[in-house]
Amino acid sequence: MSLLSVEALNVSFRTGRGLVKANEGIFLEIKEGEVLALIGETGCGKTTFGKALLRLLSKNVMIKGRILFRGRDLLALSRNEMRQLRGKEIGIVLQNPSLALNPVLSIGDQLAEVYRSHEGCGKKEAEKKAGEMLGLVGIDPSRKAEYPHQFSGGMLQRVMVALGLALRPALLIADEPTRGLDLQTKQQIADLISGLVKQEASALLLITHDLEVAEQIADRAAVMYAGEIVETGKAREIFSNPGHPYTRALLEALPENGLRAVPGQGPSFVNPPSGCRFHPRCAFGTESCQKIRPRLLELEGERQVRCLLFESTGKPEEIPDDAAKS
Amino acid sequence: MTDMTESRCINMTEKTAEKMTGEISEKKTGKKAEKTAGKMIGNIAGIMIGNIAGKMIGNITRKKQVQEFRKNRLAVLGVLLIAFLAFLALFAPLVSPHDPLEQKLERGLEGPSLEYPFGTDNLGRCIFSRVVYGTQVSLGIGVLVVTATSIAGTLLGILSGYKGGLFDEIVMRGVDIVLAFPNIILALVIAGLLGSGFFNVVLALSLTQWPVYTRLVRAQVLSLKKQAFVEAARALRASNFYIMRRHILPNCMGSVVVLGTLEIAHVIIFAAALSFLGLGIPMPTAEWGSMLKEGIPYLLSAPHLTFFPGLMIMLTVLAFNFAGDGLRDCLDTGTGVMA
Amino acid sequence: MWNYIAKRLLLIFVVIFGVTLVTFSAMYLAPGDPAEVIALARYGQDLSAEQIEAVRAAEGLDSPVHIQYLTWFEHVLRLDFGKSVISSDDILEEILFRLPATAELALASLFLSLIIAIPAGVLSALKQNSLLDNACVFTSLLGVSIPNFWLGLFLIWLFALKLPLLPSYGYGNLENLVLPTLTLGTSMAAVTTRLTRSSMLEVLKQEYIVAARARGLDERSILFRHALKNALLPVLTFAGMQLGYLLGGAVIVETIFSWPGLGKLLVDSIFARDFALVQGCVLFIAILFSLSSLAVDILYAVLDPRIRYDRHD
Repeated sequence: MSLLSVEALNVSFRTGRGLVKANEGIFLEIKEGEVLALIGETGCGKTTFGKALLRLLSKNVMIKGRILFRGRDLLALSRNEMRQLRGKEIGIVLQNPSLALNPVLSIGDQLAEVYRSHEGCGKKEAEKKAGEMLGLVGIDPSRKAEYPHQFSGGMLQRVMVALGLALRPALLIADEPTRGLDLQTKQQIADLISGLVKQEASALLLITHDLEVAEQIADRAAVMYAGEIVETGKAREIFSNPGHPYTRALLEALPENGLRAVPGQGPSFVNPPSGCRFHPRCAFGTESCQKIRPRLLELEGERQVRCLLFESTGKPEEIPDDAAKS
Repeated sequence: MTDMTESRCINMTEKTAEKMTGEISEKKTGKKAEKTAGKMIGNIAGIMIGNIAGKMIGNITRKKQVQEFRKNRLAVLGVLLIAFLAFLALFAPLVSPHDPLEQKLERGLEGPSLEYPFGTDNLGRCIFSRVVYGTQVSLGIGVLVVTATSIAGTLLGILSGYKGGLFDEIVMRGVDIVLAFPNIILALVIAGLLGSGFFNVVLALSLTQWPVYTRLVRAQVLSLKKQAFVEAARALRASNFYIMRRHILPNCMGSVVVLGTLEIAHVIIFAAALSFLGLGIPMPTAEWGSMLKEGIPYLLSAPHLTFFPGLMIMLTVLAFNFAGDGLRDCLDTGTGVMA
Repeated sequence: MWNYIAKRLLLIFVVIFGVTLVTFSAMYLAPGDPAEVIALARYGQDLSAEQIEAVRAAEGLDSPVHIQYLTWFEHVLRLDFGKSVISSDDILEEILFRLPATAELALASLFLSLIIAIPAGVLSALKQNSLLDNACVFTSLLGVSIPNFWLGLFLIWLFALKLPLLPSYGYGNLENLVLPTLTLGTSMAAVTTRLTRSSMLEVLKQEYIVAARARGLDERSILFRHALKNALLPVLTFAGMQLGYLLGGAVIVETIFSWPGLGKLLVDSIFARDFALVQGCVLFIAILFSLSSLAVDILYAVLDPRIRYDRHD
């Protein structure tokens, strides 16, 4: 049974330049205890998706579709119901911990506040729990009186994880938890998160542009391009045998595969390209790609791909290797 | 020649304090000075406002910014008001129905009528005409002070921020020292000691207002200096002068224009305050602050003496505040609320 | 933090030294022979050359300028501001005698402005672009643009003359304080409202507010614990500048309402050409302002953990 099921989600922003369609027609599922990686380039709409799940976007947003969490549609909840659910049932680790932590409150205070607000703990008990939580993420509880600017980037990320998991939510959303960290720290944070969600039996939605981290800890992966899901499937299969040309391009950009960056620039969200959104940058694009908007095809082995090349064969092996070189 | 009458006028006012307004000799010299000085101020004001408007437009070349500015109704209202006030200043002789200094004692303290749209003051002078002529003085002071201080303050700020070292240290201590005198106090003392008069007010306010630009510009230069395009220019061995002129100055202009617009509002209030206290523009020149002061004894019987000059100060200040706020929003210079 | 405070203290000494220089040299802006001006102020119109020379010798105006300055500066360091050249009263005594009146007016106005401005600014920011917000923005812009001397006259006209409810001048009773405080306090409230609003808007955009919401905290603790604390820090820094505004505004308001404070003393002494008293007043006001700005900066450092625990500075 799926824990979270997103159906036909559309997220758009009313701006001075027109309607920005940040997410379009998204269907996605996360099962209990599962780790799903949502990958894609910076600016493809991943963060918007993560925040939309918890209704954390600014006032000029329009969200359509359904977000079913344990059978309840989050978009239909009252503000108060939503508030009670946040943190308690779905936790989130926002990007950039140095901005996401309040600079004038000590980290112990910020953590204890969560317990006091949700569990009605007294001051003492909340502080005790905060100390335990800090210990759990590998921070000496004696540092709880310190302020965010006194911590290093990796340590701040640990604080964020502690805040996200403080109430043992059934789902943790982690938005770029490894961005901007050095290799060693990145590994530690990835291990910490995957270890803790296993330990607490939480599901994890890992939003990242870091394919290595995703490959390491994800059970399943979804690839996002220009606000659309272009491919989903088992993480191992996607990384060993990518289907969508965009996924292939992403993998080729990895250092061990030759560091070939995806050609061209990210698409506009105000005037997205016609047809397949990836066609201007696609190595395999045909004329019909400019006209026909591909649908998300169901392939065998819980695989989905949004690409015209798969319409006829339905096989991920469709793209011949020599075509990539032409 | 203007200077001579002007200074004679000042000396006389100084010695005889405030009692002499009624005397004919004073009235005649005063009137002469008023006319020549007024004309000059009107001209200067016109040119300056033209220049500033030109600068603004030059800075908002991008269509988007102009649109942004236009969308801001208050800002547009501000600009229209400024244009209207500039018109009043330039064409004061045409707009005003009476000579602002002409006294008709038998018609003193009359309320508004067709002949005297804003009524008359205690000496039977036309308040409307005086208010119109007052525009010349207030805009003249505002524009002169802001032009002088923005140029000097900006140059000092650029040099100080760009050169650093001892020069920077000295300039910044100078800034600190001037700003250690709160608000209007230093201008008050300088104007008070120099004696009243148009150019003394301009001097007093100029001497005290330059640091606001220096501080703002220096802070911007310090951050610009670290920008890649400045470092690139330096790597290409561009001269310091060239870098300051081509890269630093244009990038500071936006916030200087915003600050300058808001500063005109400040300066006009300060100048009126000085005159209100009796330390600014000498009588009988038509100036809003001193008109307010003259109206105090008649506050209950003839409130129009104080109402109209005060209203004009408020409208003028409001106009520059509207325009300045609008400019800041569309240039997005981050000058801060108080700049 | 101690480094920061030490640095600020050092700087303030340099500034105060500069302030004495400016204050002293300002006296030489006055046209004419200072001895003659003082004699004129002291003895009236018909002066003999002897009287002028006597004044010159008595006030030490016959020595070179730098000696005059050093003598004066030395006295100032010993907290001896000299005597009024007209009444021969001790200047510091006179200033300290007038200080409570100005302090009373300034504190009352500060209090009034804060209780108007902070709720107004916060509400305005919370309801951005609502009718309330627009009204707030417009009113505060209007408030900034109304000269306080005009506002003062209007209040006198309305409350002292039209409906005689309150006295238009005088000092000592609570009712005397009302109109001057309204004049000075409301115009300051306008400035503070604008600042509070923009600071609050800036804070509400911050990611840590979204993060607090994402943890399911209720709106009240987000507002009071997370937003307000950050938003009021710049308002506090600005309170330092506001003291300057208060002292400057006091000059005008005290003159309008015949309030026997420092500002009135300064204006009166300028008109009386009492150079020593002008010097004393200005110097005192500038030092008072510098020290209170310093106090505000230190308070800021204590309240903002980013400065309090800065190990690098």
